[in-house]
Amino acid sequence: MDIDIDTGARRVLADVREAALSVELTLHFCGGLVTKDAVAYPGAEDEAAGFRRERVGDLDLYWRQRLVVEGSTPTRVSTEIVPRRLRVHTEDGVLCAQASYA
Amino acid sequence: MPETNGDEERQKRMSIVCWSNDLDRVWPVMILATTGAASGLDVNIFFTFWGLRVLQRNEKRTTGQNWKQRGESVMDRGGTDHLKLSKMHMGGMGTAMIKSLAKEYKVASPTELLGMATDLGVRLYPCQMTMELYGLTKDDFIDDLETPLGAASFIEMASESDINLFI
Repeated sequence: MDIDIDTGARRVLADVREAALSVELTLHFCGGLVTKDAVAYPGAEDEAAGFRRERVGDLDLYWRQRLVVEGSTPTRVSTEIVPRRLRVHTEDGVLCAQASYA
Repeated sequence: MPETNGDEERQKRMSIVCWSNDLDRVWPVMILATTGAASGLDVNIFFTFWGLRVLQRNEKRTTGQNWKQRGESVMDRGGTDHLKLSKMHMGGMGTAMIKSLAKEYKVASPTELLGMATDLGVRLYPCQMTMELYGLTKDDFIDDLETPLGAASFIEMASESDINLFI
């Protein structure tokens, strides 16, 4: 996976004195479409909850991939699907993430 | 999704024939395949005739061994990044609009879905007859494909499937 954390995102983390960030990726297999969501926030996450740790320069990135399939519960954490690229950036000073599976 | 049958447990199986390389057909093929695999189904896709072009590498411009095959490949560029709508393509404007809408609504593209499909263990079978007709070789295709199949082998696979779709 190719990870890019831009300078804006690094600045947000530095402002809150965090050396780690977490990204939760969700694929929704619902309503005849496959849609993707990504949420980024400062701080580390629990690897026991399915988060994987990647070292990106001087930062630790924790990420996990969830699959939401219509009609089946509970939500599944997938170790099979891995995004090809993950970009963490900011929009109006808020951390954002975008995953590409292509 | 395991199904209990006496002492045996077997996953439910879905086989899809992808016959077209129209965006509005390939998208549903990929959505059904990935949704099926994410739900626990064992999924096979057989790419035949125009559909075989879906498996072509996006960066591959021309393919084929003779002028007819090469000419056909120029007229009908392969790869999931180059799919067109079967209706309202309008010189590329319609297709670009649908792709832009999909991006706005965070809908995974056919290229992304193809990547997810291989990650989820969906088996992608190129059609042997169409490969010969188009003069396509293994190097023209994306990685992780299964051994090319003929009609008889696909029928055998379909006869063992719980769900069969022709799209």
